[in-house]
This record gives sequence, C-alpha cells and structure tokens, in this order.
Amino acid sequence: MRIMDQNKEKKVVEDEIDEILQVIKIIYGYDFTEYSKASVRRRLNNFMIMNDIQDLNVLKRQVSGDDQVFRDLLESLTVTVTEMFRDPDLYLALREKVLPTLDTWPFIRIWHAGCSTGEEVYSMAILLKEEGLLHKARIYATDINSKALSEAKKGETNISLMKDYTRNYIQAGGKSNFSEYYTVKGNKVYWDPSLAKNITFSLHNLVSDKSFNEFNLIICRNVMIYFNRNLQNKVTKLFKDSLTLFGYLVLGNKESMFLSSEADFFETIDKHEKIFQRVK
Amino acid sequence: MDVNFPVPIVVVVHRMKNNNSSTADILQYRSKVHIHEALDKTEVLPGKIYIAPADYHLLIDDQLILHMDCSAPLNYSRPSIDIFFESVAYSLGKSAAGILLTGANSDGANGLAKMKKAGCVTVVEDPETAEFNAMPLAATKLFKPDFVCPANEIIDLILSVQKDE
Repeated sequence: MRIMDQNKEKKVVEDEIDEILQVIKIIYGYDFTEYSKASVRRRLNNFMIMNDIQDLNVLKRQVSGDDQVFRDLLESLTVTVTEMFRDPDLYLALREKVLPTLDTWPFIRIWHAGCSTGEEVYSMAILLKEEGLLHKARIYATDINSKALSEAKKGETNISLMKDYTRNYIQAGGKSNFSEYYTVKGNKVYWDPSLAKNITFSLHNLVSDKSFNEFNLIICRNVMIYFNRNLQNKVTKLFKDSLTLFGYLVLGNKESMFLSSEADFFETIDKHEKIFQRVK
Repeated sequence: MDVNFPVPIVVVVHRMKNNNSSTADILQYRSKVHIHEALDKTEVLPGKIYIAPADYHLLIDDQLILHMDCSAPLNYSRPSIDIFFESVAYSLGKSAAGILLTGANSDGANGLAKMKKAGCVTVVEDPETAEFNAMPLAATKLFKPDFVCPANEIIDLILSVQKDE
C-alpha cells in the first residue's frame, strides 16, 4: 500500500490527502471532503499504484496541473460495481411490500440515485413490467460518473454475465423467461429497448446538487457507504425532501437508518432489505 | 450475551453472497456469545464480536468505525481479508492484533504482513494442523508471525488477553 509505505507520520499523510481533496474542490468543483476517509484513502492508493505515482505530493501536482489526471481520478473515486437483480430478496420485498402501494398513484416517479452502469435500473424496469406498472412509471437514473452513465445508456451487457444474472432474476421472483428481455449479438446482450422508454439517465452529484422532483420511490444502494456520517445525514435529508408523503426509500442492505438524523421521518417497512417509508 | 472482553473482535470469512444468514447462523449456533452482523458505519465496541457481511469489503478507521466498500473482489475474494487487515494496520497499528486461520486461498497473508510491519501482534494457525493450509502457509512463507500455533492454542492465547488486561 503506497500511502502506508511512505515513512511519513500518519498525520502528515492525512493532511496531504485533505490537501488533494481541497485542490479537487477548489479547482474542479467536486467536494469529496465528506466522503469516508478510509474509502478515499484506499481509492487514492489504488489510483497511485495503477498510475505509477510515487506519493501524494506528486499526485497533488498532477491533479492540479492536468485535467486528464483529474478526470481519471474522478472516475476511480466514483466507480461502483453493480449487477442485474443484485440481492434478489430485495426485489421480492419490492414486489410484495412496495409495488402494490405504488400502484395507487396515477404516476410512479422513481429515482435511482447513483445508478452506476444501469443494471439496477433495468432490473427495476423488468420488475415493473412484470407487475404491470411500467407504463405509468417515470424512472430517473442519475450518477456522478459520466463514463458509467454512458455505459448505462447503451443498455447492453456481456454474455458472460448472463448465467449469474439469470439466476438472480429467478431468485428475485421473475415471472417470465429472462431471455424475453434481451437479444444476443455476438458476445453482447442488448436489453429490450421498450424497457428504456420511460428511463432518463442524467448527471447528478448528491453532494452538491439539489432535489429536482418529488418521487414515490428513491433507491440509493451502496452509494452512501462511501460517505461519512455527516454527509449521509445530509443526503438522507435530500431524499426525504424529494419523497412524497408515504413514498419509499431503499438503501443497501448493509446500510442503516439507525443513526440517521432523519430516522424519525421514516417507518421501517422491511428491516432486512432496508425499505423505509416516509410517514411525516 | 456479550463477553467480558477488553477489545472488539471482527471476523472476516469468505462467505457466499445471498447467503448472509448461513455463516452468521452457523457461528451463532456454536457460540454462546452474540455475533453482530456488521453494518456500514457500525462502531465496534469492546466485548462484542462482529462478522463482516458477504460481498462487501470492510475497512476500519481510527475511531473504530467500520466502512463498507463495494469495489471489485481482490484475489476473487469479497470481503477480502487483505483489505481489512491493511486497513487495521493503517488505522490502528500496534493497538490491534490479527489472527489468520485455515483457508483455501492466500487471501490475508499480505494484509497480516502489513499488520506485523505496523506493530500489531500477528497470529497464524499452524499450517500443519489447519484443515486447509493454503491461507496460513501463504502467511508463514511471507513473514514471521509472532505466534504460529494450532487452533486450540490460539483460543488460549485469546483468553490470556482477557486476564492480562
């Protein structure tokens, strides 16, 4: 681990990391200062190793002076890994506990905050289609990472992943043949374009950007794990303010509302799958 | 029931994803002590045992707060023992101890070596008596742990901490 191998005092290293984050904030306008330090440190370290950067001072100079280095660093600070129907039990819980209520609204506005390369969004579209709700759903999928977003917009995936994805789909309570939702060409799989009809992908930064609509369902899984607790509170408040009364918030299943400043506004609908409902 | 133990214990095992309950349940069944499933930003407390969830990497900071991470598996492992041990070494240094037990791959050896370098007490299960020796062997080949002993002696070692504190 490069950061640790430096024979510097830990305090010095921590200060250097803070300096880099300040540089990024001031020059490029991205604020990572409230991300989890442990996470940031790990990602910076991996970036340095992959790009053969000797130490944090060199990194700071390169980031300040070179747009491309910053863009690459931004990419690696914000990349997340996702898959179709990840945590199939969540989709079972959504089918059972959330979708019936969503059906009572004339339009269903859904926000996938931190949609990464889109797998979760296409999974949701498939779920809604099977439950007869896709036609009245408007899905907004946002992410801070523009490379991930352009991948998401392509609506494709690799055939090598389909065995796992099919298994996930079945465990998630899939009612059809998974193959009905895609076509295969070579080693690429293309999701049925009708799934994407009601999906809008756009850039959005949870740290800096405001609420942009009122939603019935907000899904933000494995995004806030990269934030420190203060930022988690701020973003949860953003979500609460973006939810209609009795709308739902879904977090990753290893996340918690327990210590959240917004906990009182929510009732727990499913404590394992971290489904919450705004009740005030 | 939690034990009267002066420090928190965090357990990282390779678990099948979507099978979150099984490993924790098995451990729980065999343990009188309550095993807490770690959640993001859980603060680990003395006398409690925590288990890392499947399919996330685990980090710890100097406030003893656990952070989850969803990046790619390392050595096909997520959670990666290396990643956790590295994090312990950096954040906690001498005030932590690492124990590496039986396992089928070499995950953990590098991380434990870093813990040793940071001044942590390092314990490895004796490869001769371990059920799967790949993991402890990778460690003993890489560096010299403070203790290499069979599983039952590791238990004695842990219990002796309780008395000394």
